[in-house]
Amino acid sequence: MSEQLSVPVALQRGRPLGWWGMLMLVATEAVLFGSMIASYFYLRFRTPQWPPVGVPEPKVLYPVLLTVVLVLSSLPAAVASRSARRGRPGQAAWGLVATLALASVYAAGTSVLVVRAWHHAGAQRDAYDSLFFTLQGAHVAHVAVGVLINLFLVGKLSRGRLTRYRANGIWAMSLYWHFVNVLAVGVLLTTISPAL
Amino acid sequence: MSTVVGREELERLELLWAERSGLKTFLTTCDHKKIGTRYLVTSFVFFVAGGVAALTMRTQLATANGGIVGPKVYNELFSMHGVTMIFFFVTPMLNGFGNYMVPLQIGARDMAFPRMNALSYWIFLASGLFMYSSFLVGAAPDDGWFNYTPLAEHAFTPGRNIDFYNLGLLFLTVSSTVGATNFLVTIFKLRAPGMSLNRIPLFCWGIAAQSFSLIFALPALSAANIFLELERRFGFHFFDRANGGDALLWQHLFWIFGHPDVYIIFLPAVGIVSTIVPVFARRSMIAHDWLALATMATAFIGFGVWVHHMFATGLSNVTYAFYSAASMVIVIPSGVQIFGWLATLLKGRPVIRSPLLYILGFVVTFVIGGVTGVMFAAIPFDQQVTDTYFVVAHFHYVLFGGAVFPIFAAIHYWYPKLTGRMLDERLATWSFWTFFVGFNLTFFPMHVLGLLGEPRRVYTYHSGFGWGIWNLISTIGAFTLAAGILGTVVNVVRSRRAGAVAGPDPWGANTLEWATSSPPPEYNFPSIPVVRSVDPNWDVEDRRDDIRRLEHAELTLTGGHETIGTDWLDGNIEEVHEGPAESPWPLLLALALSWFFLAFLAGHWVLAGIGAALTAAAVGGWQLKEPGE
Repeated sequence: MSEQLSVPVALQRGRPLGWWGMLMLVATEAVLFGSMIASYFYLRFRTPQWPPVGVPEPKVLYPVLLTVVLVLSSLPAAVASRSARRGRPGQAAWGLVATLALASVYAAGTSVLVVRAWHHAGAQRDAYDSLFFTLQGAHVAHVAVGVLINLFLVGKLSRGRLTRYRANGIWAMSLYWHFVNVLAVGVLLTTISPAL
Repeated sequence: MSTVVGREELERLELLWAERSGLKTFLTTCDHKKIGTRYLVTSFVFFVAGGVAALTMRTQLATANGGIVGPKVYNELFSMHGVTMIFFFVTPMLNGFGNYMVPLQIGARDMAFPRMNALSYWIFLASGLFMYSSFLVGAAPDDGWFNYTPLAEHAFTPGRNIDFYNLGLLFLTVSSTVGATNFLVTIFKLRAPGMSLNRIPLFCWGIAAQSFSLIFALPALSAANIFLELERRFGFHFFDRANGGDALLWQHLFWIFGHPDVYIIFLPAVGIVSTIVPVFARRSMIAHDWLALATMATAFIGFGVWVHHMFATGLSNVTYAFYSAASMVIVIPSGVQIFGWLATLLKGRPVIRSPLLYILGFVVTFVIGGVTGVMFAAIPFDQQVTDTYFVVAHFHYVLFGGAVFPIFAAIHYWYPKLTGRMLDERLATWSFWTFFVGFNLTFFPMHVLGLLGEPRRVYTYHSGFGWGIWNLISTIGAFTLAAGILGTVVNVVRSRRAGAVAGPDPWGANTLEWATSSPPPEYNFPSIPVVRSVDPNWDVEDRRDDIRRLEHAELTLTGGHETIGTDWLDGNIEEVHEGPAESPWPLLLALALSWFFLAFLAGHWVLAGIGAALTAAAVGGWQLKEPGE
């Protein structure tokens, strides 16, 4: 054996395993939403009128504004991930806090809209309502999960220590975050499509 | 080892990796070999449960107007038979082999995410118990394994039966998704140095293709289950026409998952065949790369053929023509594989031992199942025999022939690796022939019954149809088959102590799991093997180099629970990964999720909320400590 096979321990050349794992989770969740959105259009095109008679068209303005706010949160998430990889815990924590702030605005605003709509009609009237609320609910749940992970990481970072394990966690979290934002656009376009 | 350095390295590894025996370790271990063994044992127990359901049904159908079970119980039996065999036996059994063998075959020390590996086992066990607890309350799923609406809607099945189905499968999906993620990252990131993409063992390709299909197919099933549960419990509308829903939506979602699921079952089994054939043909696999490609191609094409399960639902002819053609395309990659195996066997010098017997049995039965499969792609024929026993005969030839024969081959092939003992070859041969004859006796007459028009899923039949004799033969066959399986069980139990000592490599095999002792030590390999061909264990000089490397303390990784990370294409070393050791969190998380699903089933929303909070807390607890801390 002539070639030396010692391993450069400090060096990390590939993406961390956790990032790849998150990619798989994101892929499978994307298909989940894809299935739901496909069901939406499947039922829509088998129904003569969509939304059905007597059901008002979906509101457009507020959902669009809220989604813009959410999509903007990808920026601080990217900053957090980048600073964590470069070993700057303070900057990473601020990135996460900014992400949290924007996401909270979205989650709160969307929840208000959804709850209002629910009081108005509920999901039990028709397939149209059922799909509307299922899509919205599923997406808000995904944002909520992101918020929880984010809070946990902020708590960990607030102690001022940043290990490679945590930096990888933030990296994977930011991937999830970008994905949730892409989903938001998909869900938004689907739910407001009858009004366009 | 001969040198002091080598001996010291071994002691260090032993200290780092050895786990104490005892209850605590039992509940917290993340060792992929222990988890793999548990998967195998647990899913075999489910196999026996599903088999008992099958035998009860065959006894009921042995004669016309049988009186063993009534229609209600019969509905539960065939539904749970299907659910058990597909979700709780074949897939987890293959995952058990995957769990045990994949890290060994790619020269790693564990899976990419050892704790998630434990998690996927505990959830599998919990969801299986959840599903079977339905029998205790007398409300087992009873609308078939594909659970069609409108029958499965609340109006037509008001009991908890279908809620068990929906929630049980959603629960199991967590396990399968976690497992598939783990396999993909392991296979693509933790391979031994030098194991480039074209040197990945074909069994690992099978597991990779399965995992890929799971990632992209399961969500469709989950969406369907979520929709149906929302409809049943909260009055949403997805499947009922009166409120803008559509019953066919269930069928589409189910089969978008369901057809890829056939390959989820079949592709790792094919990987087993491709593992065993070259070993017993005593030569390298012919067209290795083509077989790997065919495996992946089958997985891809499998996503485009689901409508062939719906040829009798009245969709447009254009739709049918497309899916008919797509279904015939599948023949091409399957053909590549069949001819690859046959060519390898013909060009080699086959040694007939029990694993190869099961493989040959697989080839015969699978070709018969494949031929009837092509017949189904012809729509007029499909519409003629839909919902008859011809379908039952076909998919048992494909699934039992295509997956259970390879699983039994794998049991005989890998038993020495798991236990360090050989199975009794004489008993194995007898068991095989009983198994083979029993299988054909059970399922071949069903072709005839189907053509004669006997419908599936009906608990009895009139004596005047002339179906009695074929049904009787089928029932006799079922008990013969059971005897063959029993023979294997006896062999497995007895050889645990009485079997001849196997040694590290009793078959003279070509893959890396045979490059270490039987059973392997906790750390799998003293020094991570370096690979230079597609048959690494036949490269004698390379394996000697492994020993030399150990003596120089190279690639021994004694800094913790470490393994090598390589790049996914060329297998060049990227970094050292440190994994966690034992952890209680996987079990606690699985328990929290069980709480959630049970409370949800009971309709107790406060308790369900607490279950969700506990789940989140368990995820947080999991993250508190870092590996190596």
